[in-house]
Amino acid sequence: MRKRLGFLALLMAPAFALWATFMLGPALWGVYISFTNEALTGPAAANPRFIGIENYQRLLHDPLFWGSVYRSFLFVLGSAIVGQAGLGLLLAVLTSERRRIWPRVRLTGRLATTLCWLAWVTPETLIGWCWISFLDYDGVLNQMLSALGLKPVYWLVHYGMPSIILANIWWGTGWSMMLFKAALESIPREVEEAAEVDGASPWQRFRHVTLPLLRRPIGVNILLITIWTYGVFGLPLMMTGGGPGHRTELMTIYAYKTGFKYFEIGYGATVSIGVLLITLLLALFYHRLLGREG
Amino acid sequence: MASWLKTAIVLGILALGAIGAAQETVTLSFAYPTWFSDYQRFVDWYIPAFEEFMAARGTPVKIQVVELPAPDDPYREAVVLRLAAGTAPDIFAEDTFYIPADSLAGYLLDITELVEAWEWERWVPAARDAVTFQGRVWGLNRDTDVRPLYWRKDIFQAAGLPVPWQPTSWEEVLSAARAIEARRAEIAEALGVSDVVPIAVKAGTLGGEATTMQGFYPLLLGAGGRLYDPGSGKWVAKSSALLAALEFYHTIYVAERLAVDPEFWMAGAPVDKIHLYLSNVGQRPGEPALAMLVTWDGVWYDAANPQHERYIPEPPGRDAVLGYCKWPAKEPGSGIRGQDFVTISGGWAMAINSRCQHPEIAFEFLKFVHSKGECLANRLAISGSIRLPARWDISQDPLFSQIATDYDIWCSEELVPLTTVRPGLTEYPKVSDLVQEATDRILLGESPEEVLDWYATSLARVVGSDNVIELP
Amino acid sequence: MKRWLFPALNHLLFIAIAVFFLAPLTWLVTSAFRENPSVWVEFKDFTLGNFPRVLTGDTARWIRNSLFIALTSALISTGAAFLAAYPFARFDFRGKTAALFLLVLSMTIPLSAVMLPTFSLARFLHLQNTLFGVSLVIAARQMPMGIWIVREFIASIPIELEEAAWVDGASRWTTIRRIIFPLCGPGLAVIGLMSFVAGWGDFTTNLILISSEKLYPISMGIYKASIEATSWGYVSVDYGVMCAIGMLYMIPPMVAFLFTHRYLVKGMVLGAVKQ
Repeated sequence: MRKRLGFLALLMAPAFALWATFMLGPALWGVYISFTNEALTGPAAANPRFIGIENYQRLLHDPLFWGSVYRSFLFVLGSAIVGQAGLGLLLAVLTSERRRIWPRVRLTGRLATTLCWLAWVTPETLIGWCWISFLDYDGVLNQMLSALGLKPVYWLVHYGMPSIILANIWWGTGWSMMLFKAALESIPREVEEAAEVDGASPWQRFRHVTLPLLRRPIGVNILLITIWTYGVFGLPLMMTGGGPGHRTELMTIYAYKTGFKYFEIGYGATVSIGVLLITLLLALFYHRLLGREG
Repeated sequence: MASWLKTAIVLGILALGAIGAAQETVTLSFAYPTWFSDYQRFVDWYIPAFEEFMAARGTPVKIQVVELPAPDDPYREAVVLRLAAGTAPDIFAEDTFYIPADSLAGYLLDITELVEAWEWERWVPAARDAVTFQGRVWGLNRDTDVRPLYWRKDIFQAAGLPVPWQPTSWEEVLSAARAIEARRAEIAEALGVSDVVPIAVKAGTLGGEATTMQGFYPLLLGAGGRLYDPGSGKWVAKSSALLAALEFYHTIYVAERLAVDPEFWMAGAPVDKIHLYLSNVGQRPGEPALAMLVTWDGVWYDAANPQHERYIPEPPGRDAVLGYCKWPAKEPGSGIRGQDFVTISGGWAMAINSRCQHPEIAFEFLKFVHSKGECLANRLAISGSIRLPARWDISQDPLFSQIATDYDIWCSEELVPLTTVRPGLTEYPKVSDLVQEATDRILLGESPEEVLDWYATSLARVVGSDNVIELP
Repeated sequence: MKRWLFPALNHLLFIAIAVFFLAPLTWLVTSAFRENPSVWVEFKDFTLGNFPRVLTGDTARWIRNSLFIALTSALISTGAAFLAAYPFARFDFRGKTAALFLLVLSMTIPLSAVMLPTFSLARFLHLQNTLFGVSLVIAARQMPMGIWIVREFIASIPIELEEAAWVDGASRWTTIRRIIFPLCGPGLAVIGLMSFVAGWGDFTTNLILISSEKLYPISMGIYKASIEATSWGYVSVDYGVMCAIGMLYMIPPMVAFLFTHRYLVKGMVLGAVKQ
């Protein structure tokens, strides 16, 4: 028995060490340094101190933090819940092979889903590069507008939030589409066929048969992409860097700037705790949803 | 044991030690901004020469160059991250305004005794102040800079404005800009550029310290104000000068649109770009040309350097195209200390990492680079590299006056007496960030009064409400 | 009427969606095949010459660094996940449910929420500014998902296969090596590919840990170029090479995801998709 336990522990040791160091570690460490004034320069860099809840008091009265909370919420709502889940569901349903007209629209349907998938596999910084080239003042969109005789627009400056939301929809829709497709395929054919026999129109079938069956996958996925989207960082950092001013400063970007631009590691960690709390709460909820399933 | 024998043994051990030390090559890492005009000279000349010099003295040294990202803000980030991680270079250059914070952090070696044992008395007081914090010396500087107003003779001529030109008030600057604005398209066509921009004042957070030093400060000083009030020892939250500076931004960017689009400052690397506009005489037909800009003097020297992207090709060449003059106070006499014209100085220093294992050798390198002979040689090799020498024995050297151009002489005679420096305080970098953001807000359409209110509130949050003062 | 109108509307919608997904790629794709491209989308000066140039200079180094990060993180996370998955699949032990719960929970913490502590920790462990440090962080973050997937694979292997070997005197370690490991091949490949892709495309870990340009992977190279190039029009950045490497950069994840995305869907949503 003892030997077996030792063997188990040995097998799990490398994974546990990695996990404890780089996943649990940073989370706990983050909580710890949020109670200190650790900084990368200035007097606190030489002598970091435990300062109790000072950072949290500051956080509560920090308009930049609350602004970033609001913007992150908008970003999630717009790009994940409405954009990725909505467009993903639409694409999944419209390209379902069970649709009667599918054979006739297969060509363009496949084109749309392939491109959507391609966007999803594109590495983050490349997406940033592409979207900058598209929305920059000298970018592709303005080139098209000028060709049509319209005035160019500073998209990334005046429409910062819509720009990063759109880019994130572009990036993430592929995932939701794939997931919804898998879920659609797992619906037994007989259920839909029964509804058809009862004389339901395609819309009625979707609304009253398919959609209720998809409720759980949709719910789980929305939760999942909400968690992910709260954590999105590199793409908006590249596209707008949180600017102009603070107009596109999401929570993650604010935390990053606090730490690496203003060199206040302790306070930056406190800002991150906000992101951490939100994602943990959502994750607990996600786990419960999954658990009920099993 | 006989005492002579003891002495002999001790001497023998010492000699052996010296030989041992001599054979072991000391390696020192070194970082210098790659975008500085004399960076290459460090690689090609200073480092090999210093290594030879040390080898000849029996202490072989290897200087290893560490390339850090460019420009200012990324360089600063890289330096701080390395300092914090304990992996920073042994010797590195840094903008002097970071010295207070970095010395308090314990990152910099206190070189007070070392410089005092050397030629410290030959540094002019202003240069000493720039690297001194809390009475101790933390770095060595070779020079400082000043900020004139550059203007384009060709554009002024085309707009029917007087050449040469020296405005005496902001109103004169604005009326020149309006005159250019009135004939913008026409002049652009004549020059073969896409557009002519009458004036630009550096702005926005992306501009970093350049926004504060070359944009906001000349305005603030010209309106007789400062960011920090040395009298009360407090930061200025509100003053008519702060408001006047913000209003000038508002006038040229929002109300009259005499400048580049406000959005110009909100993407990419606008500071590089604006300098390219200033030097565009048609060699980049797809880009605009800029008629007036306060900036640092590297722009002037680079405009005559064919290797540089800011080179103004001949003909017509820099001297025919680029004019310089003093930046005026809001009205004559309204500048700080009642001046008619204002400017501000900054500069970089070379510091030694407090973790450096061989501080004496690192200081030998500093001495080598900052010696009178080498500074003069550097100035000979690269025009503009030692601009306004920190050492008076260089400015007074006959050789220096021989190689000094009219421009150099003009700077030291006309601008140096007018100049001032940034407050050497730990909080300054944070206040500077607020200033940059304030200009952003003006550009995005907020009124100067709103922005001033915002500045006052934010400043109180950053430096503490006990440390701010409102002035008339 | 409806017979043609409905499919036509469908086509239209699909094309609109396709255009949306294609538009941001326009400049990248056209410029990759142009000699000295500008910011303008123009169909001229066609060349393939940008692609070989990717293999020289800075970009070659970026590729090497990206490959190093991707390969080491794939190896580390696959190895660790494989070993740890076995006990989870074959044994019941106290705290197993709790451990699995924590694994799933930790999987959802975005790196961006623990950026500063990760930096601070790496600094403490002297892993800052090392490629290996980046690999370790990425491998750790991929591992929980890996354990989930391999656990399912192992559970689907009949225990009788192992029992037969034990009867013949084989130890558990032997059966793990000789029986479980080969049969888990596809599962391990999936995790390996997933971690490879994560390492290959990673930006945030590199941004916080890597400060010297010699260690830049492709993502950091592109990031830096994008900052330099957003004064779009000033060509200190070689657009041709940047766009060519951008296109090449997409290929490994494309290939990898072709094989793995089904498992990913299953792993992330577990039973939720299955009714």
